[in-house]
Amino acid sequence: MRGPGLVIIVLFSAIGLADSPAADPAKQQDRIASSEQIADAVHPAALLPLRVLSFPYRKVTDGMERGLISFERHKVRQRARMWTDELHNRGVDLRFGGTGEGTGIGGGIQYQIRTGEHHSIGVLGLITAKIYQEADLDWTLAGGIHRLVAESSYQWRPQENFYGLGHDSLREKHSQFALRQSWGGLRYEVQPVRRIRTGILYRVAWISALAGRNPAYSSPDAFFSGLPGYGTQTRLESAGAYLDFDLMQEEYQLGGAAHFGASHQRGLGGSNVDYYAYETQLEGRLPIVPGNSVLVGQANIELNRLSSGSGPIPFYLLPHIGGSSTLRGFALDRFYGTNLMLLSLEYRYRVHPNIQAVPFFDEGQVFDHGADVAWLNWHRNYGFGFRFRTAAGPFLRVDYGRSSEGSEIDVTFGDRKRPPLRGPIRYGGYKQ
Amino acid sequence: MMRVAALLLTACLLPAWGGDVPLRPPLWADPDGKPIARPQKQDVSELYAVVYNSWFRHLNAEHAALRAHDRGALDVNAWDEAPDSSWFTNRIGRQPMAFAEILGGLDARPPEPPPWTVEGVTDEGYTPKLNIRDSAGRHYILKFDPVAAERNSGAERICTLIFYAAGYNVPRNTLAYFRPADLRLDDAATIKDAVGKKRRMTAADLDAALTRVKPLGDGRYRVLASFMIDGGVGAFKYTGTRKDDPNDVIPHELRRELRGMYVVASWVNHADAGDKNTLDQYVAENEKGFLRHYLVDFGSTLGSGDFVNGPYRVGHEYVFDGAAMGRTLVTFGIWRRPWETEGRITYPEVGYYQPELFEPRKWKPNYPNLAFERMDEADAYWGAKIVTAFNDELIQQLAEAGEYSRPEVTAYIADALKRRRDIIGSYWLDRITPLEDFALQGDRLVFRDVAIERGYAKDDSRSYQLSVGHGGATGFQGHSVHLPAFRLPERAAPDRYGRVPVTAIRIQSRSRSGGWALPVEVFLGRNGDSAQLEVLGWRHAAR
Repeated sequence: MRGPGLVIIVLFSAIGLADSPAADPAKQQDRIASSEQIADAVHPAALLPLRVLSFPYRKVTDGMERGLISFERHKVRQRARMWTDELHNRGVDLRFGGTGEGTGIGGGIQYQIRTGEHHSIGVLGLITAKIYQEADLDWTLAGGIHRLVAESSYQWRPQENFYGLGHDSLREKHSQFALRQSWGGLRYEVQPVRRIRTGILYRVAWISALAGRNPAYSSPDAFFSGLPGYGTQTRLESAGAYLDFDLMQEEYQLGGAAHFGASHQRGLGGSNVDYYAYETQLEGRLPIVPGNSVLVGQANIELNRLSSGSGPIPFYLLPHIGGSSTLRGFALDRFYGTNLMLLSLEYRYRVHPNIQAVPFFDEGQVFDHGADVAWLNWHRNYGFGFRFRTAAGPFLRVDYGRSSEGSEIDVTFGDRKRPPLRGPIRYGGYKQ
Repeated sequence: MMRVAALLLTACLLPAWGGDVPLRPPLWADPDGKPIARPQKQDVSELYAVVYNSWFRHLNAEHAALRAHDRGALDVNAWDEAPDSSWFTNRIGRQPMAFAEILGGLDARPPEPPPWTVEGVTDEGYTPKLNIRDSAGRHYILKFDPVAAERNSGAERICTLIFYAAGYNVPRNTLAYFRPADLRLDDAATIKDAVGKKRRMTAADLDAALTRVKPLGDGRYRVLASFMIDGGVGAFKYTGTRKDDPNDVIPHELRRELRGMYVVASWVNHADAGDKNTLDQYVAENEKGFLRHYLVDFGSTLGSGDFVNGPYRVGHEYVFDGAAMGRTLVTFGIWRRPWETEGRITYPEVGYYQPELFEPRKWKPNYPNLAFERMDEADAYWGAKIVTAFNDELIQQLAEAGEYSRPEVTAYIADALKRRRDIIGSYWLDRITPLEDFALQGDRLVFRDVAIERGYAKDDSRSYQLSVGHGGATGFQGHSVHLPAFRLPERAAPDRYGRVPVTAIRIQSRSRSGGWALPVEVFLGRNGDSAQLEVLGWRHAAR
């Protein structure tokens, strides 16, 4: 009978039902849990290696906690909001983030001066880590359905990609050039009903393509001799008209939009160029799961027609595709051509009120003549992306695209507004 | 020899039933109020709590290992109950309480009739808060309803009483009414703006504050008057211990009253139960004192606020819910959260509080709370005992304490509280064998069945099974059973409390699904020099 009794004592001790000899009953009886129990629960001996390994993690999270406590104690967020609200009330808005198209992350300031009941003046200045610079100035007179805008812009883009002309340009010939673009113009716009807008504009532009500023890449002239517009300044005047239909509703509802535009560009001074540009952009949205997902189809066509006797169109004004807003599985501005066709199909669905997932498929091609439009010339890619947004709007896009040339990951902050009519300018102005 | 063999088998199998057992006398008061020096104020960051608990904690394997190592709450006595402490006082969970007892116990006296002296305004959060002094010199914070009349104040009043009755330390919140003419501005009144900057307050500031909130139809303002808690030294966290409090030795995620609070919080949809809504009060007696731990701010309960990502998320999903986001992601958005299509707000005075989509095990606060995540079945059962102790009459009186203008609103809240309580009772008291108060009467073991007492199981069809170790189970009905045959060991030594555990008997109740609920283990043994076998304690949902 002694055997079972001993076994029981040993087992009870092992599971903590009996006291360890070293324990001091007088000290431990008054609390609900013994120090041994607590020690075993908090720092079990068996987990010592894990505890040692997680030391850096604890240090990082402890530091993060201290930092955020200080952040909240000093009400940094509220102060920042108060200051930005105050600035906004004075017409000043700060801009942070990137401007898309590889310009990098930066920031700037926008100043809106309300000079009267119907007119205002806007000033914008931006600079990014890649020394992209932009300065815009506009004056708007708005009354009823009419709007008259005098606008001007200066952009310095020191790292623009160029791989050659045509759909069969080679990736190995990756070069970079710097673009200096200045323009000014007058635009008259009418919006007879909420969903229709039409306008005419006149612009004068001065654009130069110079050697790229990134020593890691050759300039275009290293690969391509006689590139039209390279190394000189082109001066152009442009007149055009556009018509927009906007039938969009909420994000995940049935909707559509259409944009049609036509413009005539003519060289000024010694610039021998004269051509017509036609552009069409279509977008349709079809909800799949109401309130949760939508299928979005987009089509974009740009056609350029030279007038007789005109020299070639400067290469940087040619339609180009590749990058986060066109072909997402290809490098930025991968293909340049006289004309462009682009199709895109996205399935946007909400995984969180502030996060949207987007599997997509894009295909597009550039071509010089209609006869060049061929099945084999299409460049296709597929991929997946996320859109992060706040109540103020989208602030971050991350896209992973895969194509025959490999994979691309695009991270884009902010949003660039589409110019009412592209005409003689390569990029429109920045929009938060 | 058969008895010896059975006993041996029992002893050998005991370790498989579980680890540490709080086999000590049923301690009903944990003396954690020993005098300590006044601690420094402890700040917490809500942003950190959200970020860390939503993403960072899962990156550390140590947390997963500690969770796997979790042997249950540490502050439980031999009867599987949390003792009274600076955190918790056993109230309705141990004995029935009348509404008057709750009111009297909370001692939430409203301010004396106006005029009141305004000492300051805090212009933080959704709405301004007024600091006032009544004619008796008592200080109150007046909180307004930011969105809909009566919503937050009613919810906070009701849930203050509920959490008090449950056993927690809560502020003395009442409802009060006033007209602008009832307020007098103190000469030294200050206003604290959104960034915490103070300045002298003017009558214009007071007017501006009042214009931001909507009065009732009769021109009065309705407010939640919270009697100010003196001696606040910051918040406590739902994890770890407070380093400058020597009384605080049990990690908070291992405290029964915080783990089991999940069930109480799920009942009233207290999704905002996080570090920021806690308070440590230094209770000074003479020169030294101790810390008492409070739950504060129930203004978002009953679906009445904190509408980050929409009102219908509250209680169903974290603000950043990896599981729900992942499910939506892999199903390409075709899976829709049920609350997105079926969530509804019936009355604006109530907010999003409904029983239809409530699932006791799937309820979620706004962000993961480690104490809630560590809750095991025993903790949940403990919480469910408290929730189901609120009877229909008491719930009706609690709903009326919200002082809603429309009787249908009161009726809706009472009905929703009752139905959610019953969902909790039906789930947890069916999942865990809900037996209590074990005692030996001769050779019979007798007990109470909480599920039968509270109407979640029928007495006439209730059946149980009893086993010793992993031996064969014996089925029985009724609330007593003959003890199985075993024999006292001759050489067993007493533990530090002079108790000699002998064996553990496992009882399981039949659940509605036809299976057996998680067991309750009853430990039998001798106490002191007595040769008499007696019940030393029990433990629910033993692993």
